Amino acid sequence: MKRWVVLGLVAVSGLVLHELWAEMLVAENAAATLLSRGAGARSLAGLESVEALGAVLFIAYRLVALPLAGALAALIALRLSTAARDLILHARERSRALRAPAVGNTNR
Amino acid sequence: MKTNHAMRIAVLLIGALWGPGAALGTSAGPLYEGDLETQLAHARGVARWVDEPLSEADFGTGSQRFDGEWLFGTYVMGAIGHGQVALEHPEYRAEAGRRMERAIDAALTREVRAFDRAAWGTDPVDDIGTRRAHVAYLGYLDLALALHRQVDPESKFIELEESITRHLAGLLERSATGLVETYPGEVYPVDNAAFIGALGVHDAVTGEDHRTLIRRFRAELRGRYISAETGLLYQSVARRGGRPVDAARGSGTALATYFLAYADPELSEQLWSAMRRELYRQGLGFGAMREYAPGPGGRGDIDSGPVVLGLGVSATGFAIGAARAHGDRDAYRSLYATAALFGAPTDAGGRMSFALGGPIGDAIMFAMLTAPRAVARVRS
Repeated sequence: MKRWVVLGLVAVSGLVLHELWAEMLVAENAAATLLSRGAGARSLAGLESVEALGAVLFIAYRLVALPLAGALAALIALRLSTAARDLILHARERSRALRAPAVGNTNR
Repeated sequence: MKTNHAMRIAVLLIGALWGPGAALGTSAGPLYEGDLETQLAHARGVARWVDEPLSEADFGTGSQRFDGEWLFGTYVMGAIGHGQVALEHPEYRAEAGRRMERAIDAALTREVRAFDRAAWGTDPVDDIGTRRAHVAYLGYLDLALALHRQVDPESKFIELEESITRHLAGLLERSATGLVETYPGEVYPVDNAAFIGALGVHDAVTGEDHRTLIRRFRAELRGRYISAETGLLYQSVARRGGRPVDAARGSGTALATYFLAYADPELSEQLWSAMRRELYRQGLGFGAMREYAPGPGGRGDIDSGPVVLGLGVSATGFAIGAARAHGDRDAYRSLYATAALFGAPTDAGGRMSFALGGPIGDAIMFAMLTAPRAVARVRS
């Protein structure tokens, strides 16, 4: 249980960080520097390099975070399906157990 | 126990590898289907850039010409996007008409025209009716104007749209190469395709008939400006004689495919098929377009955007519009997944912006994501 709480907290923090970072990039229009980088227009210097680096780091963050989120979602799905299977099996066993004495009574 | 462990690892791997592509691709669904609310979120994101006072300083390409092109591109592609949404959803017409008007007014300011004036030495609007084509500025602008006319029959730009159409159509008819110049001595088939797209919309709105010119353009492209080897469009050709001076490339072909869908669906489909065959790569739910066909390519330039492992940013983005125009849902979905992975669409108070797109990225993506499906032919 504790492990799931920690995972949940990490996921929510990651999401919040992503949203704040993305909004900051939009507000600062940092993308313009990145788009022209490597496009043959020029090399960057000073503050623009920092902005471009920030944008590159954001991409790296997404490249790491998105597969992790996918793995976490798959794990949750597996966990839920296992729990659902256990519940169904348990319910079947209970219903079988409830029916057993009734059959015995009829025979008697 | 061992089986359980192995199964958990397998599930984790599947989630990590296929999860992102599946999730990002799924979010393309409402856009492909033309969901109005989703399109309006992008419309609001672009309207924000138009309402803000942008200037060349907001684009850090390091070249005054490219900064100016991107500023102009933001306004004109934004206007085109609004027009396309309005044509798909008539209830948006009034608002779209106003937003297009603001964007076109901004594109028409002397400050925004400065990049083209600097290249030619004369102003593009003052040169209407002369022998100087200015097809980059006037061709793209004409598509926005023609769409505005389609959205608002009382458009205040009717006179300007008609004069630009007459100007460029006349020059194209008289051109020995079948193409006209973007800048003095520079000829790009894709910029000419923008005007041909505008001509298609103009004919649809006015009932005029420029089919002869459009057919001639198709013949010229097929005969001289489409690579016989790859079926892709040459990026740039010589002013005299029309000899290719740059490779056949993804960015130009994708954008031309999108523009030509307005005027010549058959030619557009031909280019799209070539792109699909030569440039399209996909895997794990993501798709991308190469800038150059396999073989000795190039490093790209300002038009291609960064080229990473042969895959082009612009080619991939422009191909989204081409995919929608040709009813290619799979390509649209996987190309969008890639654009979303690297562009990071972000919803801020109902306004959708690509965190790594900036004004030009938002405007281009808006136009491509909402490309008209009127000519759609669903792939089998």
